[in-house]
Amino acid sequence: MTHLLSDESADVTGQLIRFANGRLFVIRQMGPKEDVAEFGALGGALEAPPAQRWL
Amino acid sequence: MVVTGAAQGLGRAFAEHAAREGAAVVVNDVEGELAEAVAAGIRGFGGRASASVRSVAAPEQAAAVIEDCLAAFGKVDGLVNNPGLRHESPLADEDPARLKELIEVNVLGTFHCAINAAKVMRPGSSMVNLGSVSMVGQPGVTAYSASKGAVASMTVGWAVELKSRGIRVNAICPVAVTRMGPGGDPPEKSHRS
Ligand SMILES: NC(=O)c1ccc[n+]([C@@H]2O[C@H](COP(=O)([O-])OP(=O)(O)OC[C@H]3O[C@@H](n4cnc5c(N)ncnc54)[C@H](O)[C@@H]3O)[C@@H](O)[C@H]2O)c1
Repeated sequence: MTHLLSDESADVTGQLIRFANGRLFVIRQMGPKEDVAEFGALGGALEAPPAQRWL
Repeated sequence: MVVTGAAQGLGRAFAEHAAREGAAVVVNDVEGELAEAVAAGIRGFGGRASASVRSVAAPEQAAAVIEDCLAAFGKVDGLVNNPGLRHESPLADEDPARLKELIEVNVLGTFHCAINAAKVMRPGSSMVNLGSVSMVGQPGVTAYSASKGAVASMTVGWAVELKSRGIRVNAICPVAVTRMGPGGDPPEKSHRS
């Protein structure tokens, strides 16, 4: 925590880190692991996700 | 810098540790006597600290916490958004009033402090939010885990948004054997995610 507040971490931003059992982990929300369907196969039932929404 | 919810638990440890590293710390909490005692303890070992007894859940009080830091130390270059309420409840038994209170502290309180800090922080400043690995969804504790999911989202969003201003935003998701404040879990249930 002190490191994240210090000048030494000038470029460290947007990290979710976990302290546990004397170790430091970088963690993230769970992300997609594999695709389950082709968009085209859904017959346009879903709105296409614009790439720029997921910067 | 400001550490919210710093009268006990992790917030107190953050405030004391930062003060030992040379930071001038505003010790915020709703527990006035405890907050004053933590600030006095820091001054006792030669550190710089003042107490700010206000609730981060109220927008105007959160703004006043940041004002307190400006008044006491002239700038705000660090903010630790620490308070967190947590309760266990099956979904069907969730009490709307308790749910609202939790969201007001964990999510809105973090927002209110960050909004006001972002107005005055200069390049090189840093915010640290207290998250939890339960952010991915934890049965029986869904109010808490949902609030920490929000904190994770806010952290990443603010980090990207404030990067151009040289302000860092990160979150820590600790494991600590601490008991949450009055009304929290009994000690035997205090090992949380
Ligand atoms: N202790 C753990 O194992 C653990 C694990 C994961 C995440 N966390 C997170 O770390 C943070 C600190 O946890 P803790 O166990 O030290 O909590 P704690 O209950 O010991 O301390 C929280 C402090 O916040 C204060 N507070 C409550 N509402 C407030 C408000 N409206 N305004 C200002 N202060 C307020 C309380 O009075 C208390 O002093 C929380 O966000 C928690 O969710 C803790």
